[in-house]
Amino acid sequence: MTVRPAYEAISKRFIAELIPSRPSPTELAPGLPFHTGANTVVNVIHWRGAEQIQELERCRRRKLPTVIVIDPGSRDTAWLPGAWLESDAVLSAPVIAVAVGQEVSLPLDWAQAGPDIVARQLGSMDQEIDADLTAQTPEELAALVDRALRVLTADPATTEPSSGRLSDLVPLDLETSYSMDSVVERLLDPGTILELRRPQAPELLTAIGRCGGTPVAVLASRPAVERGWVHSVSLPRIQRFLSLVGNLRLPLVTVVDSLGVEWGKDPGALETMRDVLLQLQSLEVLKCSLLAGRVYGTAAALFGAVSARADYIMAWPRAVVSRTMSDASGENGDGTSAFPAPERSVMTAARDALVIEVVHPDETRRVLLEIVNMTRSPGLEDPHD
Amino acid sequence: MQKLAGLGSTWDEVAQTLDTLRREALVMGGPAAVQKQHDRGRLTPRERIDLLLDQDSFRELGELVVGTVVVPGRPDRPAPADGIVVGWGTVNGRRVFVLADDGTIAAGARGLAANHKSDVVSLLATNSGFPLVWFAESSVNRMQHVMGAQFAGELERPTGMMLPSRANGGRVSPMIVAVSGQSVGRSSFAVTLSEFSTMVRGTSSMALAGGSIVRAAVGRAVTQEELGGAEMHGRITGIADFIGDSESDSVHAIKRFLGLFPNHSAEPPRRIVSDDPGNRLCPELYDIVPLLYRRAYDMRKVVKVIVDNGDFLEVKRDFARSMICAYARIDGWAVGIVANNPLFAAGAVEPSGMQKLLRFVQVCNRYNMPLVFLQDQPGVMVGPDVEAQGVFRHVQRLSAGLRRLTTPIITVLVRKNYGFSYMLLGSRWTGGDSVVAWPSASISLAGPEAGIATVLANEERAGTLTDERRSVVLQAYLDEAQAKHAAHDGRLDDIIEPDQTRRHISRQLEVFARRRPDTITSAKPGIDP
Repeated sequence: MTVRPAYEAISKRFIAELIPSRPSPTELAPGLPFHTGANTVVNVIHWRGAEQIQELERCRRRKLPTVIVIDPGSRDTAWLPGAWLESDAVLSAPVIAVAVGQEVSLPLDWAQAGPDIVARQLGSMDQEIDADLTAQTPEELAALVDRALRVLTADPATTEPSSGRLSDLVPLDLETSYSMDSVVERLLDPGTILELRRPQAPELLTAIGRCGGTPVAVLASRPAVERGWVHSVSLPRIQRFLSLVGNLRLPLVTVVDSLGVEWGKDPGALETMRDVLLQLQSLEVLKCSLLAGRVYGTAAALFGAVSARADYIMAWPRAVVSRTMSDASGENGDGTSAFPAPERSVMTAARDALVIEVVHPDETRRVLLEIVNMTRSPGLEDPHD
Repeated sequence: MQKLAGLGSTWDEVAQTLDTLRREALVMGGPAAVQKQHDRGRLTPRERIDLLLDQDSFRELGELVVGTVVVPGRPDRPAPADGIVVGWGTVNGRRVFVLADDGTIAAGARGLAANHKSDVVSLLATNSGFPLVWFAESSVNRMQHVMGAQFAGELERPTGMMLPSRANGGRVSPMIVAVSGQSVGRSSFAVTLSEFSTMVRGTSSMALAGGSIVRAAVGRAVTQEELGGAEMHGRITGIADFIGDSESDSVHAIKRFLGLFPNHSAEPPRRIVSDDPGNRLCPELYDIVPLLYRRAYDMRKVVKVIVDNGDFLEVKRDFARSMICAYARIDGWAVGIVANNPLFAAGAVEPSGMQKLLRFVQVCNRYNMPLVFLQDQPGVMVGPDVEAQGVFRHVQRLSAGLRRLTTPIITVLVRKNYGFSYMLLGSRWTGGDSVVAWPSASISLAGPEAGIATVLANEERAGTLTDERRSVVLQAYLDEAQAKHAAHDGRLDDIIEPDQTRRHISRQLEVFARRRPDTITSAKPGIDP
């Protein structure tokens, strides 16, 4: 019990940054929503123990984003996933769990289910639970959580176009490296991209952001990291990300430029891959896939280009699709390709309508804006006006 | 360094090449084929799309698709866009997806790439919840793709030939099929699953198989018009909802339909601000509807008076003419109107009318559109002709379908309301939320003549039935059948004056049409093909 006051101060610093008007966690009136610094209305619960389950339920029914602050003094954190699983309330607003202070004990199964986003202050001894957002100090953590809330609580007003041409970033040829992070930043509304789980699986980019004001999720490969090879040990990062996408019903944009999936020696990798593909297929969200460069092997399935029931598959003219990479490595020995180049070109796929559109990089954002905002009907007023 | 072969060595060159390739798709079958299409009195797919959509709103998909037409013994021909133009646009500002078969290429026969395009757009429409309009002019797939065992793979496509997912009660968006030329196979099946379909007199036809296959199979030469022209499907089969004199007519009807319906089945139809006040009285009705129940009149005139600005969109106008089914607005509310027309068979309900009615109310129900019933009918048609059509089966099918409706039902009994069809056409038994009658209305198991024929049959056979006796019994039946007796017992909600009809319906709509879709069972019945 005596440990609590020491960590209250840390929670207080976090909450003071997130909700400037309510500096003290003890001043949080149970069940009342608050405004963050960005004027986003959220519920904030400083988790003390299982006795707050009802307060959590009230917050959920309000259908506002909820931030649950957990510190080393918090008890019964194992109750939290159970509360989600048992509740009848429909989860329609993001839930962000924030672990401030060190030595915070969090449920291990939060990697698979539980809060939509887990943010934690680094330095905790409990490293087995992966966090989506990490920061060194409570103030930095609050800033990240605030950014996540701004992205996920849609504000249609932010439709400012990105500056700069994508064709300046993306080389025509497949060998020259480029930054996928810069590409994704140009596709989304300026300043809205927020990467989740950044330290893990550097070959992958899993991020949320806005496109034309609509919150979207982005799953992309980084061709600059080992030419985009996806390691099978990185698959859990995708699983966790897809859970967020499904829970919050975010349109999913996948961008792929990858030599394929590297299976390694993990005997369970195939099963994990199967689970990821099933998860991707079963997502009932708008799925838009951009073939940006090399799309080889299982990467095609992993990033939604095939068998994932993508609603829209588009490609850049530089993209090539192939079952294996042997042709790219010239294993024929005489410099010729195992498959003639035109059959690998995405233009061939477009001719057969397997790719519905070939877009110039500079047209990509315009097309993406149309697709992710597809569910918004222009000119539709309230039918019961 | 790998270059983009054939596309350019800089991004600017690539952009120009892509533009050139996209423009090549616009040629369709070529100038000669386009002229031939026009000579047949038909538009090209792009002209149809331009006619439907708001100017400059069309966003085409699959512009780079190129197929091939393969005919044994002849050189292969390229098929720009592979025989179908797809995409989306807006109609009066609201998003709509479109498919348009290209009759200038291989008589509209599609290639495999065309099927992929069609699947993408159909699924995009369904998943994002917007209507789909299909300009059908297609003779199924090209023979090169479906002859032989490869045909087995045809049914595995996401949307397949039968579009089965549309026949269940899940959330769907309206699909409208405009049969714009010769249409066989898939597009004909799609018409039976659509919410609204149109044909054009003289230029469009719809059949299971084309004339050449019919000749090969049964040895009989038939024209497309004989096989399945607008006359056949407008008057005899009743499969087509609207028959236009031109493609413009057809598109105009489609726009009217779209204007009345919501984007998908999980939202109610949009109410508009009408310049025709809901409390307008309708004294014209006294002149239109004769008091004498045996005198015919055109119920369409009644409908015209009570709807906003006299405007209504009638479906299957020339089929089962004793039953009127029409979409309209009353005080800005979109409604489906079902009315007996005494001008034909005294308004009797025939098997064809039951078929027409059932499909109509299912469409209305699916899209949360309130129904207004105007009853004036002597009962279900009787006699050996309807018995040979299995009238019992039609009655039961209609009965089962009507009792599953969840949309509001407002009923006005105009004159005669006899027999089991009284119960079927909007009574409380089939879920009528408001059932009122004019003072002229009468309700009974059978008309008075039928009653006399039954109870006085012996006297008539014996030759002892006098005119006076007949008059006394007739008057007794007429008196007992007056609707006011039912109102006194609480079996009707009210008796209203004819001129109050529109006002009454408008007030009921204010109450019942505001029922939110989420309070209605989500397991809505499907639409019978």
